[in-house]
Amino acid sequence: MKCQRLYFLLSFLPISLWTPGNSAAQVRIKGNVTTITHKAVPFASVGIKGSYDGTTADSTGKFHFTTSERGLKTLLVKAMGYETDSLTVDLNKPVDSLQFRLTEKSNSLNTVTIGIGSFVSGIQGKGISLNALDIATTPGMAADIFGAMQTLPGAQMAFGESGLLVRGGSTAETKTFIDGMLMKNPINAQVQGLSSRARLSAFNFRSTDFSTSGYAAQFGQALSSVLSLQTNNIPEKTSTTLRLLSVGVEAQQNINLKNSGLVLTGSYYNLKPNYTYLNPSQIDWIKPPATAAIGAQFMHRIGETGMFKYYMDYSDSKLGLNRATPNSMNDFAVVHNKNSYLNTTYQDALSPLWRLETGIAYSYTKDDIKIQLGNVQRLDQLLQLRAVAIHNVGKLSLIRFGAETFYTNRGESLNGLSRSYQDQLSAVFAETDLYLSRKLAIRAGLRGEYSSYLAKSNLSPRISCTYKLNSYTQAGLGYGRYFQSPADEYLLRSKLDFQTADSYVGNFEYKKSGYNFRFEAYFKAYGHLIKTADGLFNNNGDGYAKGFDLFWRDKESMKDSEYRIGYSFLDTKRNYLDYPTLATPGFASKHTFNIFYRKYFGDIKTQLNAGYVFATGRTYYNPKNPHFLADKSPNYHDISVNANYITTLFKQLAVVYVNVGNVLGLRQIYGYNYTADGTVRTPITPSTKRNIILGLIITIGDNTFYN
Amino acid sequence: MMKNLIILFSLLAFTTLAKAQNTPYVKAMQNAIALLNKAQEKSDFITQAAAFNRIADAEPKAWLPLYYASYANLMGGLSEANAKEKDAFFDLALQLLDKAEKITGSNDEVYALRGYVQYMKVSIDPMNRLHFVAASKAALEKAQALNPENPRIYLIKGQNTFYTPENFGGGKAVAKPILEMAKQKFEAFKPANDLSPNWGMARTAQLLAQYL
Repeated sequence: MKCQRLYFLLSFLPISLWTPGNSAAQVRIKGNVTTITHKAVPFASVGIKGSYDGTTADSTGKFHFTTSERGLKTLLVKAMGYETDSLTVDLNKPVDSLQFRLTEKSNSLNTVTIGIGSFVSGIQGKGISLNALDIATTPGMAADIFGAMQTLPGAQMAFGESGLLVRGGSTAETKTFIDGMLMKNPINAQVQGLSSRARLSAFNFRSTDFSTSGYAAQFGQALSSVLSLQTNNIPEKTSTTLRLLSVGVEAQQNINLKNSGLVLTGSYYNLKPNYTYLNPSQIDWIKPPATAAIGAQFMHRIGETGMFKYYMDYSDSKLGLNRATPNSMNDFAVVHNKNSYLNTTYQDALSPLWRLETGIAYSYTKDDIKIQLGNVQRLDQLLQLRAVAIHNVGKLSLIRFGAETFYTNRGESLNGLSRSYQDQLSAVFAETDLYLSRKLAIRAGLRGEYSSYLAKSNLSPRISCTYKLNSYTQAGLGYGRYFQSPADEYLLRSKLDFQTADSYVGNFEYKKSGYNFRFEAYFKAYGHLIKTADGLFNNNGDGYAKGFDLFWRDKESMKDSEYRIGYSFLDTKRNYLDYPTLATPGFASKHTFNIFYRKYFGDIKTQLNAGYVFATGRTYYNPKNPHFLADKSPNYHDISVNANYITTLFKQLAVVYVNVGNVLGLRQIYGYNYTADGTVRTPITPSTKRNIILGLIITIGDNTFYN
Repeated sequence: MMKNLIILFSLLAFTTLAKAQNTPYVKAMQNAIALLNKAQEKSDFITQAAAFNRIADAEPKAWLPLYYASYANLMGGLSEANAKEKDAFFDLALQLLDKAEKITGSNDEVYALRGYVQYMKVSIDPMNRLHFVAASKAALEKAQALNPENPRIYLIKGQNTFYTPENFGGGKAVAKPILEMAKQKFEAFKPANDLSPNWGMARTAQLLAQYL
């Protein structure tokens, strides 16, 4: 009996062992996949974790499949553009009518962009952008980074100034950063009343971030704006580029090594032949601008996430001119500028949650200046150390905090008499990008600084809030209180206090593939600006700037062509330096309008760019007018074009480049210089009336054109 | 007796071999590859990409499922009309290749496919994506250095050149010898096993037919 029972049991054993492999006993899993708002998600992948079994949902989100798996298993649901969902199910019985509700992954359509008022560019291409090619081909700007940025709304055209004038701010109020490190003197030798070029090549940077209204707490010491540049990563290929221009020559060697790269550049620019043969100059040159420069970049990948970068440049530039002022026949300036800049950064992701950025930068600038009064020597040294940690919180939010310190040594001498000052400015900062939801984000930051020379500290709060109205539009509000030490020329004479700017901004943006629209209105209150009284300096100056900017860009509606339009309204007055009263400074146009158009003609292999810039007249000082700065220069008009013809030369890719600034040869007058008694005046004009630049760019070893 | 033994041993060898090829992994892969080869429409490619992704999830040490998932996404992108969606497919394809490369290291098939996808990234927005052209060329050169006999490298190179405007160093005429080279290499090519990449011969013929 017992035996029989055992036999009976045994007879079932092989069958029960065998059944799980039998398709007849497979378990059926059925369900559907939708969004949280119950819209079908087509073609989602549904699978059992750790097994090959699974299926893809149909176009209505329904799915079913069978599996031989048993017990408690995890089902994974994945679909492009959605967060992965998972659910544990018991496979010992059929699973029917499973409901998966997927959340969309955050993207530019469903998630607000944090921060207000920045023109971000580069490979990532988010936001309103000017990439390296846009910068190089902005008509009339001769491939100057600062020149191209001046065409963005919020910035003014520089007339006789060198640098960026942002929303009523002077050029001193915008600072330039490379990989987070300050570049104190980004502009070649300069004299008052003449705009000089930046010593930066657009092609060395993979992204630019130009903030016209407020900027992150990791930066400081700029009342108006920050231009933040990110250097290129390891070059993809080893290649040589030669740029032969009517104003100079440039050579660049890119070297690709497996985990590192090297970029070497050398250039020599001399405007003498240009002024002699091509563009007659309106300036009486003693020495037309000439610059020799070398540069090196080294990048090295460390591990999977670390990047070490070294960036250096050295340049030697000279220029000299007789000033066309009627005051004296002897007014002249000859400037010889030598500048070295070294920047070493290391960035690494320590874990998925933590990221570290460190850097050390040093700049050395020496100017030898000969003017009527005698010989002036200037020495400017700056050392910066910086460390920043970034901690990700959740999927979108983050906290960024860090510290930095700047050692400044600035000296100046005139005919053997000298003075100098040393300062250590230290700063700590913390900031959060906080997404309260995908629609609402807040960036709040605080920066504290202490200057050893001024023996003063400051605390600078910034806050901005952005809200996504729909897939294509967002609006924001921002406030920031910014501090800046007085310019070196004043600090050399006395210990002063920080200058301040309280900035309020409201913004509206529309972004749809190929189209960009932006409106921003702002109000900026300046305080503690430098005033001079009887040769002494104090912080009693103040002023304001208010206005709005409009920007429209269309890359979509026309084939092979695009255009952008910018308009700025600016109402600004200040009482600073030797101003007797509140007045509009000479670097502000009330209305600025520009339009740029680009078209590529495939059949003649030519890209054509054209631009028109209009700016209303600026104030200038007329000693005969009892009202201070009440005279205005004539309105400014400029039509510029450039063309690039792409061809091959000696089997290498080549570009022939022609740029004509002020095609119509319109007379452009920036203002006037008067004799002390106000009887005679001479106009301040650009260095040439029309400006033609010819160039040939050849890339050897890489026939993929992108320079 | 001896003869019988040989038969017995060869039979044994055969069955063990057959067994090795019949692991669930191999079966799942063979099945998915067969379906991928038959795929025509976007939904087919998405389905197969998902299938390879599931295999990849279950076999974290295998690079081939990731490779095929990437290839299926590339094909999905090519069959999609909307530029934004296309871009998403190609980005996914590149991410999968990153993962594959982490597993297999330097691999000519992975580099070749990368060169393909990167070039397709350019086609979406040529004026702003020219850096991808250099990246694509670099990837294809790496692939060729690793295995100059891989025909897919020449197909992709030839195809990229075919669709590059003449003034950017491309054009039909420049592409022809490269595609002919691809054809030659395909004729000589033997995949290492059933699962190894073995696509591209038909596409080569298709491109070459445009010269007739």
